[in-house]
Amino acid sequence: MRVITYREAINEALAEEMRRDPKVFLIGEDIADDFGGSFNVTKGLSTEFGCNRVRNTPISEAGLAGAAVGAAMAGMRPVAEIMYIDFSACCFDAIVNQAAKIRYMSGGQVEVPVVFRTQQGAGRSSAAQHAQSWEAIFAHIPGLKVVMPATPYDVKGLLKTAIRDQDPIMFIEHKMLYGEKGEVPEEEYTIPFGQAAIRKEGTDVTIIGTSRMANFALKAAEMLEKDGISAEVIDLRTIVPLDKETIIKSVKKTGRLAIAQEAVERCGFASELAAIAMDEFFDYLDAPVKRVAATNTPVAFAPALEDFIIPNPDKIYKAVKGMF
Amino acid sequence: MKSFKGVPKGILKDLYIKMEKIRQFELRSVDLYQSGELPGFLHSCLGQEAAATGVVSALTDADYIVTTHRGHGHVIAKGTDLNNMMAELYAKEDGSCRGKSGSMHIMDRSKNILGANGIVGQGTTLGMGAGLAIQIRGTEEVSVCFFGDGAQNEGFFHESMNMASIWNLPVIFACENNMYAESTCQSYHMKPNDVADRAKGYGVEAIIADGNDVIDVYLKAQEAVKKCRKGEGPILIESKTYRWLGHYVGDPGIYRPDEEVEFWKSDEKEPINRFRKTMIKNEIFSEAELDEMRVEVGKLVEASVEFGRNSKSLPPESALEDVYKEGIL
Amino acid sequence: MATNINMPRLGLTMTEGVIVKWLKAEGDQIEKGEEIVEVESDKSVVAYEAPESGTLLKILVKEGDACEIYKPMAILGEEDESLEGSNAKADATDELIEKPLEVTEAVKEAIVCGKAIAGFDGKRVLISPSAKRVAKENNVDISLISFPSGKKRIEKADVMSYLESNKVKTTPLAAKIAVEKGIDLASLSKGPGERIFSSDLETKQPIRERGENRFPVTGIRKIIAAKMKSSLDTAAHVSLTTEVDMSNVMEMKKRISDKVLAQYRVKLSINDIVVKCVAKALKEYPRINSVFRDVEIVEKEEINVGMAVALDEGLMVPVIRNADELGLGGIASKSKDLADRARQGKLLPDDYTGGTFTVSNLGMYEITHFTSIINQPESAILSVSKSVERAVVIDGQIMIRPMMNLTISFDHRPIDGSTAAIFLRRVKQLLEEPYELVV
Repeated sequence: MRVITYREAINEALAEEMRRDPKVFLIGEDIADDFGGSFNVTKGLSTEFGCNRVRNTPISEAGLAGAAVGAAMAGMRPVAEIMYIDFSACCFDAIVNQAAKIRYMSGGQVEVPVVFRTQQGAGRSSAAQHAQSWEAIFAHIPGLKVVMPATPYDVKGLLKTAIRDQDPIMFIEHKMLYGEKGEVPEEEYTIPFGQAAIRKEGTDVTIIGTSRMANFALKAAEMLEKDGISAEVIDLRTIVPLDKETIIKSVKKTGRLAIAQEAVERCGFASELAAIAMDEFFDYLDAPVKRVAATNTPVAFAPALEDFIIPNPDKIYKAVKGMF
Repeated sequence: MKSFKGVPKGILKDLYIKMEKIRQFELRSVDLYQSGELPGFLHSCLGQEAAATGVVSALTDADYIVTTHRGHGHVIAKGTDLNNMMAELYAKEDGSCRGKSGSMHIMDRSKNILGANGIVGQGTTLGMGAGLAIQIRGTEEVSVCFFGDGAQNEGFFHESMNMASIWNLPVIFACENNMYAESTCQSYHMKPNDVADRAKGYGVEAIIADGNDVIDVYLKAQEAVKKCRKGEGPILIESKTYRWLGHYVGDPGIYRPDEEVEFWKSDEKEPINRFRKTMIKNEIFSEAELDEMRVEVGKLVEASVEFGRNSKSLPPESALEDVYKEGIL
Repeated sequence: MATNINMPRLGLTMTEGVIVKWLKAEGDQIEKGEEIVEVESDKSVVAYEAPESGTLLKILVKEGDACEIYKPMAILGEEDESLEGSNAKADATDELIEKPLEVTEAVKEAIVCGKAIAGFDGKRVLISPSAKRVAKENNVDISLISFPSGKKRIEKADVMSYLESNKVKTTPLAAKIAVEKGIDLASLSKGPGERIFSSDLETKQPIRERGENRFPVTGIRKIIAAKMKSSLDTAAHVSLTTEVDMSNVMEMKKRISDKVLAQYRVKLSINDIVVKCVAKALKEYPRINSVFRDVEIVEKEEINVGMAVALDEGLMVPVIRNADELGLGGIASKSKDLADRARQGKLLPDDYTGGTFTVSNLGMYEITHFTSIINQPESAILSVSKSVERAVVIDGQIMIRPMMNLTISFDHRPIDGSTAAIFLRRVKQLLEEPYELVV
């Protein structure tokens, strides 16, 4: 099978969906050629589809996000790019007060099929305002779906599903994954929401991860294997909707659950999973649920401090070992 | 006479009936609210009937409107069913939004009403987005976003104006300047005298209309719509008007001088009386004819109240519906 | 269909047995229950009975050779049956499979593990939810699980280990019946390592119809019925009775009871003194302590006195081994322990095998005279009745003495009447002059 990068996979998904459905259009800052997007994701798209359907905007998050919502309400299928998830604070209203609520408030009359493509995460010394992980904030807003792909295969399949979905979606990519390579088939495929991926089977402990942390969890699992601990690694792929079944089945088998998240520990999604553990499989736990998360601080600039703050395979490995 | 200022009699009748509908619906709903029959908030647009009617009447069914928390007028003028609207205020099952929106967020997709919005100013971006949709797919509709003098201070307005202007979107920014942003008077909250002045900064054409003269508003709106359909948008229309009641029903409005309120409510300034006088003076309609129209509207409004009252209550579990297309996750 | 005859496990610690003597030869017809081989375990030589009828097709383990328990030592089958390719398996219904308990709601009603939570050194038992669940499902008292070293809490794996080593073994059929009938298998435990067979369960369930209660004859009742009848059919039963003046025994009991209590922490009973006298007498009259085997009479050197103990259903005869070597305290202690465990169903094979003589005491039921059926393969049994104060003539004087009837029922094949009478007289002598025991 051919191997392409995460960003190429996104580019392909966008192009394929735009070819498939004329209602799909892109809107965002600096997305058109020749710049092709801050992370080079949308390169080539305005050349193929024109600047009508690949709309560069001024630096105007509230405007572009609101426009995307309005356009979706008027029957289009916009994919709006918010360059850094940190900037979603500037258009928070459009996402949480408008997109997330209009179906509900209209009693189901008006749909908002908009995809907010954004990216998050640390690893490049981009510092506090450019390195946050905010999936929990959006997961907390009913009406939004939250997608966190970790591999090129997943990002393409999930983005296509997102664009075809009738609900507003926070599609959260990761800045450190754009260059990651992976096998992606040429044939058409989509990945449904609410279906986690078991990346490695195991018997002693279940490690859940999202986005880059799912990949780190896999590395940690390899380290644990050498110590005789067989870890089962689950990549959630979508946190809303959540694949509870896979998690329940796994922990009933292993008896232990660790969750790796790049977001700050306090009130992160791992806390939600720990609560779900109480509801769904308390009687199958041999140890308390363990969260491996970022420190309760902003993300520092200095690489050494960033490393201290953000989880990595070694930290996951040590935390899981401590569960035995 | 068969027309006035180029507006045919049929349209004039339509304009009047719309204004009456708005006026009577608002009066009735204020009563019901104050007697406790309606829950939540009510932001009455009494006094602003002409500003709403004039702009909306220049549109077709296919055109989009986005309105504000004070949106009953626009929604009624666009043709939404009074029964469903009243049932929504009553939070009943037959409400247009099945009790999920209430007064502040009334939506009616069938009339291309993309909703009233509770976030002041945000409607401008949504309306601008609708305009973007029209432009991308290459159709001829127009999108109108209503907002007040208070809203145009929000960042949303400025980002929308800017984006609409750089792309020449078919959007009409219809400002109803009633001189007060909640309790703050215009002279405090903005430097220029007219909201229309702002448009210059964005390179957008602006028109000022007498918001209490429905024909003036209508004619100017027509011009704006024509231009937008030709791709010469966006255009800002500022209608000067005044609200009779406080910001919300129950607000005593102590921040406005009594004389000012009296002045704007007087027959000379108040939109419906002005229109009637003009129609009678120019022998378009007799007083009796106008009264008859008024009575007919009264019946409709009364019927809607009955409808709302008698409509079934919502099952509480319906709260779990329509969160996502799949229901709830 | 050929089946294996496997080396039985005759004692808790037995891991292998040595074939002492084959009592049957290849080709012989065997009846179920017939002794076919003498096996020596680490404790004693036991004559093993055929588990079913058939032809002894092949002897796999020679005399003098050892065989691991549960491994085949012979093959039983149809006459003329070929053993080609025979790896004959045991019958499926009673195949010895180690299976954990299947539980019903009724079984769960049994031991609740939660009761022990507070009892672990007075502190909470630190146990994971998963371990608690598994413990509850399997009726494990968590206070019995030793805390795993190096861990923070008892985990599921620890409960599973505990279960492994403390399984109630059943046959699949028995497990199925227990689940169907809601029987608590734990309450039937014969002791660790003992297997519950389907027949053990069936005695518990009578059929109630209008006017009558029908109890299926199975399990222990069936065994007793067969054994009693067989004993009567086999031995030439004769009984002799004598009267014993128990005054000196009573006095001795009064004098040493508290000493026995102090040293052995048990109460000394009349029966214990009887057993001691019997043991001494048996030493002197080995013919009474024998086994009749048609062609030979085997006098046993060990004096293992069995005591009949009544249970709810049936009776058991646990054995006080080497009773002649024990003092009164030792006998009192042993007899109490065996009687208790017999009633709790916790006897081990070592406890009820190898008896050479039996004492049966019905004195507590006001019985003044009775005879018993010999406990095969022994040759005699003593029936002890109640001591009753009666008027007797001693040296021409009428005295009030506690008189007790002692009856020996014996097999007239190895033992003549006079032999039995002399033995009985000796027992009487010892009881009437108990200080001779000290000599």
